[in-house]
Amino acid sequence: MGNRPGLSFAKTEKPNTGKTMQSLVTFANLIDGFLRRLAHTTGWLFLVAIVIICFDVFTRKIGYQLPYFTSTRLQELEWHVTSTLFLSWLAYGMIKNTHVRIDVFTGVLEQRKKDWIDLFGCIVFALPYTLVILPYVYSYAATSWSYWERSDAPNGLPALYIIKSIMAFGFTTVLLATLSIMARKIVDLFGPPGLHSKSNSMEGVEI
Amino acid sequence: MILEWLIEHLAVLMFLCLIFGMFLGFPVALTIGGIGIIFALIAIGLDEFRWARFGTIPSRFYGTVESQVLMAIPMFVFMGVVLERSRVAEDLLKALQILLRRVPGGLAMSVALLGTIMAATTGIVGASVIMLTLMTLPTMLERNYSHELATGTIAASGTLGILIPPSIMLVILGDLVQVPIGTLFAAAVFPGLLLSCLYLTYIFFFARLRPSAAPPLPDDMGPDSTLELVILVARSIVPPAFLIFAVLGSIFLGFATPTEASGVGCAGALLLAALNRRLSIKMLKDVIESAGTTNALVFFIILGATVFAVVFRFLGGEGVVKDILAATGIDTGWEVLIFLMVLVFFMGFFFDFIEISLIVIPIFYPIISRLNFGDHIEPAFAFMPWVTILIAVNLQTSFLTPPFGFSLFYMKGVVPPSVKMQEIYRGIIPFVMLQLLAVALVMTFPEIALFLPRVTGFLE
Repeated sequence: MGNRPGLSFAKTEKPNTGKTMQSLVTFANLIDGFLRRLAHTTGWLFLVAIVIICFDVFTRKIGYQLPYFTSTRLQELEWHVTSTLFLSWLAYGMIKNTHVRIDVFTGVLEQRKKDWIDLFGCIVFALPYTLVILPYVYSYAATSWSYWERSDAPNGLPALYIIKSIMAFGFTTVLLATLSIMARKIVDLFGPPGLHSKSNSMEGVEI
Repeated sequence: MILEWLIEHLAVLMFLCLIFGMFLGFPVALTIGGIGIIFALIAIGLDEFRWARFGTIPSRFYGTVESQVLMAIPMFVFMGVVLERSRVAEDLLKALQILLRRVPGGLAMSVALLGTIMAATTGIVGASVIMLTLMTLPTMLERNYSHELATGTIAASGTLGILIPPSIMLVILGDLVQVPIGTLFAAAVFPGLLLSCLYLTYIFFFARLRPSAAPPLPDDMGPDSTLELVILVARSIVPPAFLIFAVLGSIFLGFATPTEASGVGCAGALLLAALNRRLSIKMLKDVIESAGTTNALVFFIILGATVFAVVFRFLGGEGVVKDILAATGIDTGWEVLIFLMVLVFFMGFFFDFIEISLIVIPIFYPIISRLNFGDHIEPAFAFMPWVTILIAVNLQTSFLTPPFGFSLFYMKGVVPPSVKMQEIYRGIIPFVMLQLLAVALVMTFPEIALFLPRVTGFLE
């Protein structure tokens, strides 16, 4: 995995440092680019959800039902859509730094100390969180696949394993975002001054 | 010895570590989840927890994923951002100012009214206070308003949004305490309007007693003819007000579930933006960016708090709260309730409502749900909606209370340097008093909250 160079950094010789750091930046850019494209694609699901909800409310009022997409199925589809939306934006929020932080005490620190806190947080909180949870989320999805799980409702959607797989995928992207942030913080803290991990990061990038 | 002590106090330590951990300033969602996992691992080392128990976590996550109640959050957030980006609020403010130009403190009153009507657009406290400050403070300073009155009005009105429905906080709380969202929305209406009226009355009398602190607007402001005035009002006030009433009305009258109403409300907000000629692909992308990150932020904390709650319960966390209550001799219903209120109030100094709801409520829910307020609250199951509204008003007060007040910090971040922190502190104190008055009123007269859910049939 791409985070290896970072872990072996302490033993690397000086001349190689720049190269290692450069590859960390490339690694982080790859991840961020993927997460950005993912979020900007699934973002339109907002509109999809609105259309489905309005359609369902309207057709139910006039008593009309689509042949396959009955009201029950539409209502299940609604939370499939909105959940896919938030699951695919968790990691994007991490790399865009939009998740809530309580910075009443640490907000005034200099940037270098903040970088240290982020690196510490990634190693102590984010990595154990994702690494311990991921296997369980995967096995949860696998179980669902193993018997082609259908919705509990008698005429509900036929493939519940899809959303459970999306759940596992969502958590995988959180791990990816953690690795990307770690790579950037390592470059910021130990890399040569010229190489700014920020240069290619998400700041100010438009959709 | 040390090991035994550690095992005994694992849950307490876990809670303390969470509080200190969050102060590090690392994203809260990851900190909560991380602390949960770390303590589970420690407990596994001490033979107090088993790996297999992690197996319950994915199904709890799935409970969030398939929740039809929580689905209202992305929809209400989206609706709010669309209304904000289509500049409906700015037009509304302009119209309110013109209407109130002859009333003492008219400008401040229009800000308070804007905060009440546009409460829908406010998901997160910080964002709404910042928006309202940037939009209204420059005008008030230009008109030589006293800094105290201006900042106090803006901070209080901006914070009103977490209470007045459609409120994201009430959706989260409703999911946690298992009260239908419609009931909570209905219960929040009159307490919210009560606060709004208290603000308006205060501003009015303040402006009467000290006219120099709130100079009136020029009389010739706005259109000349009455007809033009009517058109202006119709164009700027009616559409957003209609949208909000339609969304809330269809919930209260039972036409639609909150989720359905939120989806239809989004379509209405988009239509409104189109009529205002502000709907474009670029605007939609901006809205998605903002709504998507806000939505992800809320759900990420919900997921993290789920992990924390599962581990905390296995480590005997609920017993700890009971022990603390027993040790301090708190046992009657009122004592527990006041303890909870004080705790929530102090937590509000540091944390946003999402964290507080998701940490404090799951711990207290088993205890408060068994409290008996038989003679004070009728019927018994109206107790939970009442307590939830009390918590909401209480949190609002907490966000406004110096020196920590959450809203005040956000405000300080965007005011010009001529406005001093001391002025913000002095300005907010009267509003904090009004908030406390409202808490006391809703506590003493539960019908303020319970009247509307009662007449709309939510309490049957």
